[in-house]
Amino acid sequence: MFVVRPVNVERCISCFSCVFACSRRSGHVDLGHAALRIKSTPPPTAGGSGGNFVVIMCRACTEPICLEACRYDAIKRKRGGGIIINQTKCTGCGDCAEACPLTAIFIDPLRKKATVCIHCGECVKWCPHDILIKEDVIE
Amino acid sequence: MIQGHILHINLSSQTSETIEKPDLFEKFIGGVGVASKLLLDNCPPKTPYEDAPIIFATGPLNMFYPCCAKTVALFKSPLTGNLGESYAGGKLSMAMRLAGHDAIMITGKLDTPYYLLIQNDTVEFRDAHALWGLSTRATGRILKEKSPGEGRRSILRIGVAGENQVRYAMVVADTVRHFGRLGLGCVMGSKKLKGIVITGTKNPKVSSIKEYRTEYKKIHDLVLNTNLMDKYDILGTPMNVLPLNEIQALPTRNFSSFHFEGADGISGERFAEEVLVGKSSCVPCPIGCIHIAQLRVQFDPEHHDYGTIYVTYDYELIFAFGSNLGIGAMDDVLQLIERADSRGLDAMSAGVVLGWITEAYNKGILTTKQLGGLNPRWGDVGVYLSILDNITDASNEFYNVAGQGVQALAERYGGEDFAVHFEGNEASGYHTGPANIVGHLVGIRHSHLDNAGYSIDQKSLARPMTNEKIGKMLAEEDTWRTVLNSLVICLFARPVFTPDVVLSSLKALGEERTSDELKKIGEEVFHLRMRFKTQEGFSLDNLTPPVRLLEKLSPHGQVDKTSIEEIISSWRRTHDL
Repeated sequence: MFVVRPVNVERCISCFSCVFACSRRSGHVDLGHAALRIKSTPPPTAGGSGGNFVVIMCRACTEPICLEACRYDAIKRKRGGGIIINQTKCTGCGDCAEACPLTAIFIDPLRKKATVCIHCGECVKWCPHDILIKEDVIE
Repeated sequence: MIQGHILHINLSSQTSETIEKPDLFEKFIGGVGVASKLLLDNCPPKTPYEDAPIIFATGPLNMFYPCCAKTVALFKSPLTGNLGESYAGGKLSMAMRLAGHDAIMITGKLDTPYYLLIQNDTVEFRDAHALWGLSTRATGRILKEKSPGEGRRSILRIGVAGENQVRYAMVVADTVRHFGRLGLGCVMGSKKLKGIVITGTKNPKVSSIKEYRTEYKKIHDLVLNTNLMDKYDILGTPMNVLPLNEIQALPTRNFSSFHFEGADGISGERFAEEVLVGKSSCVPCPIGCIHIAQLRVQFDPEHHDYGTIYVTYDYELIFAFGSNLGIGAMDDVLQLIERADSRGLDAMSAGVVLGWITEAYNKGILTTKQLGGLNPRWGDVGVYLSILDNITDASNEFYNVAGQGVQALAERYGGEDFAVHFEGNEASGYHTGPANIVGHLVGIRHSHLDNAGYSIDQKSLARPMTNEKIGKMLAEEDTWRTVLNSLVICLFARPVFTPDVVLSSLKALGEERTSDELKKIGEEVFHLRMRFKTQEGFSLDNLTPPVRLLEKLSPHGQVDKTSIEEIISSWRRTHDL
């Protein structure tokens, strides 16, 4: 069993190959079905542009804080860490995303559903710079 | 599948509506094809640029495949008084697709400064009084903070050059990309439009996800697992500096020589080894062709005060602000790029203008007084930075003319023989021979990217070609690039997007076309734009190549007028013009 981890994010060029690969996996070409994001960060000390890109995705917590935030019983623990969101029960209220310290759960404004990485590993093979890796975990 | 939705924004009435034109996309593919038709239909002859529409258009492949990440803008060029056509990457085509707009047409003008926030179907006019006068950098940061849609939006903005009607003012797209050439920034400034933010949440459909996935993988592999695009991924376009210098085709000191003794100091290799700190890409494209350098600026030597600025660089900018000005230090080139970028000037035109000014001053055509007390010297970056500021601020009469380009400068002050432009558009960084000269002369936007004459010249060095053949190749390249620009793929990916790949990638999205059909549309769209150009006063019968390029030896020797005429006539026959 593995989880997906971003490493050496300084190499990221923000091409969105991983983002669209994630969406494509579920049969879509959009951002609403993608469970990870690329964000630009400001440089360490100055304002303005010129920082690095970072990958925002679920860290597969073993004690997921988002679990308790859900009022609709839509979130279940996943084996090996992380969570699964029941798409029928989910109302897209965003409480889980709010609770996540990384804001690594994304609300699709179109469907009004929360999307989170299930660590399937699909994105890993599309990254041109090997930033996403599979890390073994104990179940 | 493309829907054919065109968002029409009327600035004068501050209203917007969506127009459904699927037939237009069916007929002209999208991108420059659709935009050309919209421009012809909505821009009566001799409309002043501030009253003419701005049209942004995407094509059927945008967002769906790697490297299909460009957007075309058509407008009336303030620089040439004729067709304005420019392309930018970044996230614009993705954001337009997510918002559900295949094209956006902006008409009319505002009385006071605004920026537009486009979210799906809604268009909000937001007051931009407080942004007027700010740099592209500051404006970008503020629009980022004030607008929704992080990660799914695109932000366009102009700098002070656009506000002040510098005719070659550009538009910054998503910090590191630009609608650089022919003055779109000036047009936006004339309409009091400081910026455009576009974002959306749509979920575009494909007809068969299975076919689409297979096709995506095929293109992804062609892009990454062959060497077709290595050039752009590794050193980027600056890898051209040394080879062009080697064959003596690198414009130096206002095109007075084509071998720069300082080329080693500004080569792609040097930039990569010493100042490259990161790469970036458009979306979606796995090639990190956007090379970002770190510039360490010293403010006060005594206090050891420094700041760090991140600057993107490319071949054309290194030519324009490097060899063309006798500048052989990377930091100097980067400072000039940064200044042009933050003030909102097209670096290529600006570099050619600075070159002309230096030569005119050296020849005694211009005085220190006219230049506001400045004495330009080859290689003197401090003076060049001041001149860029003066042009941007239109600080006196001379700089006001300098903001209209080298053609206007030469008309006013003389020095036409060394004003290197094609129909008013400042020349790009090549003096490779006759194909380059004719390619620029006849090219739709008088740019090196219209038909890549420079590339034909380099090929014909190894294996000589007849003028007949060169003319035909230029014309065929015009047509095929028109197809690619209708799709709107990145031209760096043209080795990947062969006619077969274009057809199969369209087919996987449910759009069946044939190779003949594509070429026919390419030719038709080429003629549409030629019609617009003719309407605005362009004529193929009185083309004048820059005197400087005829005087000076190219790798093909001295380019004679007969060759030029022969190539033009073969080109005209091929296009049936």
